[in-house]
Amino acid sequence: MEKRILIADDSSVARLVVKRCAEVVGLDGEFEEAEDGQSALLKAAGADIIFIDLNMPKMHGRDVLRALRGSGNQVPIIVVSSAVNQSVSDDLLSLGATAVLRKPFSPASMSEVMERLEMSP
Amino acid sequence: MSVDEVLNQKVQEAMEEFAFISTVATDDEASSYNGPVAMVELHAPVEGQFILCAPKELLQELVDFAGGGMLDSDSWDAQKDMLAEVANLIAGQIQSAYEAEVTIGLPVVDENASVECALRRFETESTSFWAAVKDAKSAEHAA
Repeated sequence: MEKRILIADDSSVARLVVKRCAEVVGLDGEFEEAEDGQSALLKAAGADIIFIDLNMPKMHGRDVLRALRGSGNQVPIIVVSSAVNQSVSDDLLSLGATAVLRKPFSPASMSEVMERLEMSP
Repeated sequence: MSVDEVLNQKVQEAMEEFAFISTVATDDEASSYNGPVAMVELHAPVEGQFILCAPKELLQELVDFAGGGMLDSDSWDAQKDMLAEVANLIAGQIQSAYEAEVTIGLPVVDENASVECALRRFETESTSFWAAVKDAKSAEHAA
């Protein structure tokens, strides 16, 4: 069955970059996009993997992550943000993020994460 | 490391890593700029306002690269989104250079802004752009 991949970022450029990168590393499926945190939360149900930015309107990515994990959603959630240092990364992982990708990232970095999740082609 | 030094380093790194655009921080400063500008409020650990002033030639180049031909680089909508994303990227990197909780605002973009503050000039192979952290209050934690 085709994977449903949700990309949540308020920037259309950033969503496109994540999508292109995902395609480069062989992550095929149906891509869905969310332009803010609230929309991400609504669209998360049924997603097989979620890429989420932190700094988004309406709801911060960290709050989306907390809400999803709090509701029992266990799908891989990859946080994609430039505003990430070690303490932020540790905090996100403790909240249940599966991985943290620091922008800008390379296809190789995403590929490493996909291999870890056993989602490589 | 001072906020200015972090700014210079992070602007160059972001342009190189995001779009493979080699960028040099010059010693030139401008006191005003008119044109496309993105502003991002910095809350913690550095307080202030990150300002990125980018001419349309640079935005077109960035859209062409990141969009991989899927975006119209002449479109202001695509350029505006790119300017916001690059400003967000650099602002995030400036804040995350300090080992502390990071908080930044959402980028605000104006196609024809008029900015008055000390702006550092950065040079690429094809053009120049300007950036600054206005009203910076240094972080307590050194980078």
